[in-house]
Amino acid sequence: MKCLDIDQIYLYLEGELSPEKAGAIQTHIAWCQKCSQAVQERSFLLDASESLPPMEIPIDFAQQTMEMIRPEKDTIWSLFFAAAIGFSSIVFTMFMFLLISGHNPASFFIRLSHTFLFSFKTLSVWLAKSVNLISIASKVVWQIGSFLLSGICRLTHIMGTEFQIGLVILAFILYISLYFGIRKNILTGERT
Amino acid sequence: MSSMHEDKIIVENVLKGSKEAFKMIIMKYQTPLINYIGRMVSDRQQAMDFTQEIFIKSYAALHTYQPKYKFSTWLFKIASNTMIDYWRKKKLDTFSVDRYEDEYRRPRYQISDNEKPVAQQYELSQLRARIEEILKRIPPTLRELFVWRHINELSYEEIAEIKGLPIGTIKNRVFQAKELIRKQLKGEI
Repeated sequence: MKCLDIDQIYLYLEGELSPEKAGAIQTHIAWCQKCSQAVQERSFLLDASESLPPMEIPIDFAQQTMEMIRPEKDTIWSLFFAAAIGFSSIVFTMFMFLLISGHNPASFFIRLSHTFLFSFKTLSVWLAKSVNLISIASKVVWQIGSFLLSGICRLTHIMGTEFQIGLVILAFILYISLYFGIRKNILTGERT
Repeated sequence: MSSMHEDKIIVENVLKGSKEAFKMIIMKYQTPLINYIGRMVSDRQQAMDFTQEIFIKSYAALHTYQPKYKFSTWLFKIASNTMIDYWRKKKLDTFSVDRYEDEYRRPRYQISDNEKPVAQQYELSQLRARIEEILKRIPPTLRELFVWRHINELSYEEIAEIKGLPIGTIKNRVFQAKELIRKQLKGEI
């Protein structure tokens, strides 16, 4: 066996080699002083590296870190509660204001609910009409699209392959010439 | 119960809303993390701040953790990315390993005929102190791998997964780090 290289030494020391390869290295270092010394040297370095003392950490580190973590799930709930409390306090303040100013809070709230119901009814009718209109428009677009596609399909059945290729090339040339024509017009400032 | 299975259960509990379970994660991983971060940044307080930041980030991203992987690997990946951001902000050269790789690959990195023992000239405690000093001077990309392998005692497979590099590359770089430390001990560099 040849003298060891550094990779082999580290793989051997870290137990990363197969038993056969490790055995061959053991046999080699038993008689090769140079390799034996190199292995010892790196083994000592490895022992020192693996026994480096751990870094100190404050006892209350975990607690401190926990205090920095915001409870996200609780935040959502607390937001919900805050909104509910806010809304209730607004209603309560209005109620108290109407009572103190001599108005009848019940009739005010009845009028408010009527207005709300009326707006809701109007909005619902508009929404239903819009949905109906959108569905009719999409049906029309779909039918036009299907008609165009079936037309193209029939045409491609009638036309030969060469004719189709020729048509595509012609369309391409037309497109390119149109593009450059428009571009030229724009660049020279001419109007079409 | 294996550590991986234990971590999986703790993570499930955290996701169900138990903050106390996350405290268990911190207690378990604070020492490995500070051992890594503490050697990546020079200032102790900064190391503490970074470690806290990593735990906070991991808490926020815990729903993305896939239990088929080791939790420690996932956590160290977050830690490594945090360190990369830090090096970028400090404008440290994080990708200068190739220079060392070329140097390492030269034939002279075979054992030279007149190699003298260097490490063995020190007492073990002295040698540990010297290694800590030298670690501060070697490139962070190599230092990181050395710390994971020999201080955090991660396997090469785990390190390869964290860094997303082939195992062979990781091994080479860890060996380079060790040879650099040895050469610094010798006073060659």
